[in-house]
Amino acid sequence: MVEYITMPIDDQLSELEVSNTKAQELPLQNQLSNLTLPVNELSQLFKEFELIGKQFPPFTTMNAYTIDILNQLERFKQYHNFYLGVTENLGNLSANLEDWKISFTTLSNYPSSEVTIPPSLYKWIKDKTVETYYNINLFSDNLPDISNPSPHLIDLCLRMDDISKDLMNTQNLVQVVSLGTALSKLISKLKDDFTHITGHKITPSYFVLYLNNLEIFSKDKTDIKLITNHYQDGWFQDQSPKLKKSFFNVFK
Amino acid sequence: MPIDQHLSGLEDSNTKVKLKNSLPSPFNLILPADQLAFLLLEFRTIVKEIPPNSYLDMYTASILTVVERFHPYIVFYSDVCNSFQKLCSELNNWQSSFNLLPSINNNDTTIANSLYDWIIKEVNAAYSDINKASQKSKYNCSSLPWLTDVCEKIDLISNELQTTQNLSKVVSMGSGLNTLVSKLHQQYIMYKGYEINPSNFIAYLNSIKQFSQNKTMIKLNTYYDYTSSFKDLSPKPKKWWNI
Repeated sequence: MVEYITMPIDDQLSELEVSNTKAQELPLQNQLSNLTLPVNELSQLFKEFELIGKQFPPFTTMNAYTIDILNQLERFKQYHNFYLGVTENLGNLSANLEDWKISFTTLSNYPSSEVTIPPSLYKWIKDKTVETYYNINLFSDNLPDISNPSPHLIDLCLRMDDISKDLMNTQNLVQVVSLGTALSKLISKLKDDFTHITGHKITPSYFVLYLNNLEIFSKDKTDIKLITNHYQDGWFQDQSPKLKKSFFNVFK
Repeated sequence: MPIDQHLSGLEDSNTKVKLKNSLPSPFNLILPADQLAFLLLEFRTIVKEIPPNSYLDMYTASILTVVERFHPYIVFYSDVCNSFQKLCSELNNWQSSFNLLPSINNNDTTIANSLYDWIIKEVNAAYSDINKASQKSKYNCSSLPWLTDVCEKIDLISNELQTTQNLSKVVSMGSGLNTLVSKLHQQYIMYKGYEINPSNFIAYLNSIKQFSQNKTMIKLNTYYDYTSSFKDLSPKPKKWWNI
């Protein structure tokens, strides 16, 4: 039989292990307590998105001076990552909540207020919610802030924050199901704000790709014709006045 | 010291004032039924004169009289429609949170705080906005018994909603309120089966007023949207060479 002798270093190591475990748990605790959407940054993004959507409304054929186009594109460029991050995370949470909700459609009744939701289903909704908040806040870092956020967005974000916080504090089946369903509704609503322009639904990744293609095409041109289908195969035509080709043509 | 008693009294009264301001005036939710009845009668007068989706030849004198009559109520009309519309949409969204729940027979089940705050806040905001809008507008005394009845029912439900957080009660009252508010909202946006968009309708009235100036007769279509067209039918003075 091997006898283990405890040395002073073992105590220190075991202490270190405990503190390591604590350090690992800490970010999760922070995430749980930080269920606040960056409403100012989201407001700014919404305003910028509305502005560029108004400038390039979907399914339109237009002639535009490239100077105007490039100014608009430059302005929105700093929000590309945030825009893609927000729409992707909201879309992901929305899809997860819809799948999660299906688990409850066949329940017939809740005889008692004591019924709790199974830990696996509770973990699903909690983890996805925390992850979305964490990612959206991460993408919003280092973005310009604004002083006049949109009241509509403030209202929507505050409501979502309240619901998400309530969700973290109960495993009661009736409460979790109603909170989860409400969150799903509001998340879809917020996502729609960022994926609809004048009634048309757009795909964020195609939209950003379209803006990039438009920027590349607009360089070194003064006037272009474009259609704004916001697909990657967007169509552009150079309409810049051409220089006379040769010295002799000038005298023609 | 005697000053301590004064200070403690002052603190007490300050706290009371703060508490009073922060509460959303429960148990006193009353819709201005008479003003709403008057507005509805004015709305019906104007849409009867210029019914939706019609082609009409009209003397501008009659158009301008009707448009002028409705003009002072445009803001009230717009605010009332917006408030009802917002409350309906919020109640619809809120109500969907409970679609997955079957019947709850247990009296102890309560609604989550955030979901309760949502409905209470929206109901209070709608009452506050409609009452504010009605105070800004002049009106003559009118009443419609059925409208008074609907308003009283809405008031009763809204006030009772402030007193309980019991899930089955709040959900049933929220659903009842949704049905009644939608019904009332419909009265201000429907005419002869056509749904009218209030902001397009107001824009249309402004356009028609502008176009009618300095004309005697016009042909108009009443689609109440941006595609609406007006045509001048005023008799033209004879050119001197035609005489």
